[in-house]
Amino acid sequence: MNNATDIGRFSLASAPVELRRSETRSAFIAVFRGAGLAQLVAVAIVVLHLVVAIGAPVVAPASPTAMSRQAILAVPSSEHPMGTDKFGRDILSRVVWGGRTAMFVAIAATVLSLTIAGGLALLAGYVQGWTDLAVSRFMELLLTIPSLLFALVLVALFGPNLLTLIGAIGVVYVPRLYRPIRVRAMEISSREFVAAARARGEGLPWILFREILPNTSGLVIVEFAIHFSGAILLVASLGFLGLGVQPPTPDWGMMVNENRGVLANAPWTVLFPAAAITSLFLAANIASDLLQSRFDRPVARQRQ
Amino acid sequence: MVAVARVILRSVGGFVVTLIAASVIVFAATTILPGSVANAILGQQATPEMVKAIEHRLHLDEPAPQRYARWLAGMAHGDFGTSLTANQPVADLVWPRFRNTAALAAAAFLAAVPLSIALGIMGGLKAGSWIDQVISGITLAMLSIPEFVVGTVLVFAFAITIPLLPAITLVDRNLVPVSFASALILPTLALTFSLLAHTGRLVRTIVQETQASDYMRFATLKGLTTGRLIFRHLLPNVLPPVLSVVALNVGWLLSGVVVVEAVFNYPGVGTLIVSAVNDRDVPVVQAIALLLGAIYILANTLADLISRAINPVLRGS
Repeated sequence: MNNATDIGRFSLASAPVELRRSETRSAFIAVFRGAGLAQLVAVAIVVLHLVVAIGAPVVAPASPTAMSRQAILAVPSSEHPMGTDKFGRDILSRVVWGGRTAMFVAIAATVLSLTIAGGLALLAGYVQGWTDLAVSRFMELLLTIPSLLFALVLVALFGPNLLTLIGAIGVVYVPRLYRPIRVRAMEISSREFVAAARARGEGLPWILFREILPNTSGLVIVEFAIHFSGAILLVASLGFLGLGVQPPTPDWGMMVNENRGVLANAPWTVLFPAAAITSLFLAANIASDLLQSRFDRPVARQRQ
Repeated sequence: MVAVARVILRSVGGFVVTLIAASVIVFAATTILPGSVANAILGQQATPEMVKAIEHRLHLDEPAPQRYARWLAGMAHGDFGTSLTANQPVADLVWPRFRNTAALAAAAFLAAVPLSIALGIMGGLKAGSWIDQVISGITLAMLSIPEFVVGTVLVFAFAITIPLLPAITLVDRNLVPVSFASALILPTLALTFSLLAHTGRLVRTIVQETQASDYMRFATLKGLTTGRLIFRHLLPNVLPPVLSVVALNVGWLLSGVVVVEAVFNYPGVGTLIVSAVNDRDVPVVQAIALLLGAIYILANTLADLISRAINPVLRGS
């Protein structure tokens, strides 16, 4: 909300020198020191989701796409812990592999977005003047399009598939990531060590990536966390609308959508994937709140 | 008086400029791939001649600036083009649906905004207290359940387990929204859920900041009653930022409405844009994207104007 008063409160992030390794480790521990039980549980849940996603081929008891005529809409049992869907596919395996889809798309999209937005924000924040004005105005303009709508239009153009999904979510988040990083880059640009680098005759890339970038690390971590959880929601929502990854690739949102018709007879087909999305999204939100309280953030949190 | 007129003029000017810029973006975004539109209509068997004919009929063979001018001039006359799949004017397709969406969104707003202000004040007045922590926890949890999960669980609870309300909206799209009030209840609840949580949290932050100000501390030290403190000192100062938060949430609501409509098969612009995206019906996607974008920009402009009108400090700047 109030940028002017927030500047100078970044204890860790605004350290004018790069952190040494040992300091980085103690900073990592400091994030968790004094965290509440709910926050620690949330971090554990996110890590668990990540581990399951990476180990999906080992964790899943069956193939997520193998159909079985003998087990159509089977009730949860020891053989199928979460039951099966109308094609006899094992829900647990589909939930496990669906998590892999969600994680992969969300991480790839957020990294893509951070790369584009971060590069532009560092440049605009440091160079300022016309470049800053032009880029910032364009970003403000992109912000006037609600995120889901923006993603929908992009999917309409390029067709629903994995690459479009990553690209669309990545592009949608660029203006949202740009704003806070630019504010931060601008603030750092006025510090003495940047002026010193300029006086030494360092080039633009050195100043942007070796002087300014390391000092935005706290902010970048927080922004990554916030937009990662946002991306999880967007992937699931687009999947639910049938505009995410396409069958047979398992996806949580798609699973909720394709099984809605049998909600009355076989609620497990819908409720398990719904619970998976909610647990990851909730845990990611709480974890990003924890990071936010540790690293602070110059622009108030907005998600829409 | 002159100053007020200038502020209003500048806001309106800003609105028009942003809207035009947004229309350029929507137009540019939906016309990057002109060939695919013709292919989408014709399907796999399209010959180059057929593609050319379709492109000529839809003026896709003209240069982009000319097409943009044609599109803009048409909209000024209420002509949003012709749907590629329904073979019907886009305006005729969108307006009845838009009325339904407006009814749903208005219902959600009416339910969510007063409730969220009440929740935000309750939490923000005693920041850090157990009430505040409980409200924060619950609203964060509410915020973290995707709209379509909320909707699906509501259907499971109140349409299947306890069959009270209709699970999907089966209405003639020409009916007036009031006549299907019972079908509106579950979608409204689903939409209110996250909107309430989101707005409530932002209101809490604003209240907490105001609470820490000198005049609030002084008013408290004077020994004013809580009621007087809230209604005479807190609310007038909290309202402008809350209004702009509410306006910003229009964007949130527009995203939510698309998903919630899909859950209940509600005949609004949300379900229309999803099917148009599936069919690659570009004129319909363009019209709805621009319509919703215009509403969002308008809401932001209004919020800006209202906060200037309420707060004398902002009036001049």
